Amino acid sequence: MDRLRSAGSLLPLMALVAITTPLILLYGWLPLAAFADEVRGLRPSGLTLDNFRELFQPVAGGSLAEASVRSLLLACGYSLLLLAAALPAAYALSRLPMPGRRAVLAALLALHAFPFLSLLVGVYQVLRELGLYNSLLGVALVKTATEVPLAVWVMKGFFDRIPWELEAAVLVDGGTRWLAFRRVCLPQARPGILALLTFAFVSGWNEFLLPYIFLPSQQQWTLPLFVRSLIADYRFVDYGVVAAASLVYVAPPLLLFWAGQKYLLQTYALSGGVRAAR
Amino acid sequence: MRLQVRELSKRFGHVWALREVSFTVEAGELAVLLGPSGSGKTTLLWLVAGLEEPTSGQVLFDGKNVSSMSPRHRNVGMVFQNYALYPHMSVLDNIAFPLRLQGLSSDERQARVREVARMLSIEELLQRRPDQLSGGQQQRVALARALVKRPAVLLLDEPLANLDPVLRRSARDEIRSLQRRLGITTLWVTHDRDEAMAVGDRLIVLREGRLVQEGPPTEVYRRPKDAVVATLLGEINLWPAQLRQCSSGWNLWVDGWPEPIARWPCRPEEVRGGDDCLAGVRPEDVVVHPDGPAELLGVEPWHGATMACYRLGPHRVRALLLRDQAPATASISFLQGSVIVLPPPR
Repeated sequence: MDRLRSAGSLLPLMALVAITTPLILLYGWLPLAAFADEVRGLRPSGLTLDNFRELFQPVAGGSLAEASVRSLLLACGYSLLLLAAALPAAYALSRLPMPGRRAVLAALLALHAFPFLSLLVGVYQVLRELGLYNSLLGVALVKTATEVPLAVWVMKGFFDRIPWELEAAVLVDGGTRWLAFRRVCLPQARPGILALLTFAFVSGWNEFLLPYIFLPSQQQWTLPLFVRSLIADYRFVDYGVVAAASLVYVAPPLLLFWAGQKYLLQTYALSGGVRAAR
Repeated sequence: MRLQVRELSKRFGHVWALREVSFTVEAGELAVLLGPSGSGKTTLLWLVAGLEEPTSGQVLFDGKNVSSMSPRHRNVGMVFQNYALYPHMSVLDNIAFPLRLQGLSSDERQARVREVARMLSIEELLQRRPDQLSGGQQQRVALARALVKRPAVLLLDEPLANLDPVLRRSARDEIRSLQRRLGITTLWVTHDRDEAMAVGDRLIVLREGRLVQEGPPTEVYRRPKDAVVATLLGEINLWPAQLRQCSSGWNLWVDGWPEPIARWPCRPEEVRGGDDCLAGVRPEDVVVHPDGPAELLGVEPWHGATMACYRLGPHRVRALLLRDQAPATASISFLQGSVIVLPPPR
């Protein structure tokens, strides 16, 4: 029995190793190359901080530091906007008996499946009209709009799990609906909120397409655009510098995922329709 | 405080959860709402608390219509069936929560929480979280939270349903004596007839959203309105019977019985529109004499006594005996005045 089980889990494990090994090797290469004196071919040698020094040099096109700050702004702003939009919507869909609730839920799913790129021209027009073209706020708003449907679904799952009696108890104890939301629903949905924030931050930090399209001027570049520019430069490509930039780029999501894995797993379990055991 | 419910109805979509229910609970009384699941008991409780709005009808506290008042202005305490303790707060914070919302100072809150905790012997649990408590402890905390604000009305939704049987008995007596001592007008929802018989000053029987019968528990037990109420409250023998007038009044005849099983000087009011009816006798009112036409079918232990089942003609008779042995054949009679006449089943 035991042998059977271990043989059964061996196969998926081997498949996992086969798929992830190249990725892990590449990520392993990153720090080596980033601190290397010289990268010949893909082989790093020596030890130096020069690559980073060069990155933080202020250049005409903006430095890594400035791009990082903008990425941070985008990621944080987008996360908060998403939360501000998704939380009330999810609570309403989970709790309030309103006409057309099911239709709204179905529409949200359909919206989530809608390919965003087909809206590009329209979104461009709207941003121009609003004067938000070539601004971080514009990108954050567009990104929020595209991600809100899924976020609402995930948060609704968390709210659905909170027994209605808990809110009723607040009302009987002398509280208002708003107080019940604040004092009971929000603390109960905390894992969901943290997971949503983590996902949103990472997704905002990593976002390439939207800034690429809606932030044409180099002064507005975020980190992904900056990294890309290093590779696509007219000069020869300095792999050490690219690696150093990539390291800076990849660090925050890694840290966040490591810190928030407990909540993230819960979100996966919930959005997959599996109830986590309490 | 006097609680009145007047022609209260509640409709969810196309389903009537409650239809024109009216009753009064006097100040300090404990009324039990008894009924099978789906009979509207919990809905009624939520309407009294103000957590649902009635479709029509009124709820009155001391004569004042509170139907459109929000729950927080009604000053009711409620124990939910699943207790609904706030999972992220300590027991202390749970109990103090209603006081905090009233804006009491921290000192006052402390004093009031200690007082109610002492009353329910949960002082040593105050620092714990709800998930560190047993079912019985959670129930006490829920009760403490409901009582701490000194509510005008206490609403208990199946307060013992999640306790084990041994605990249920002691918790029942404790809540009852506490309620008496504090003199809080109380509505207690249950589907357990023993619980209902034991704790209530007044019994209100609900079925399919309608009030079927109300009154003191023993009266409802002795004079149930129909066969369903009769069986809901306890074991009972029911036989098809007929009313026949004779020179000295009215006799109740059961098919196959040599003589009428009951007589009344005037016609019982319970039977209307015809003479067909049901005769009911509680097993404890059946008297068994050794030797006779009734054959013993079987016995089963019954809370320390014996429930014997006899066949008499086409009928079965269940009799409660306070001894272990039941005679193999017997003649059957009933205690004076114990025969209940019920309208025939529709």
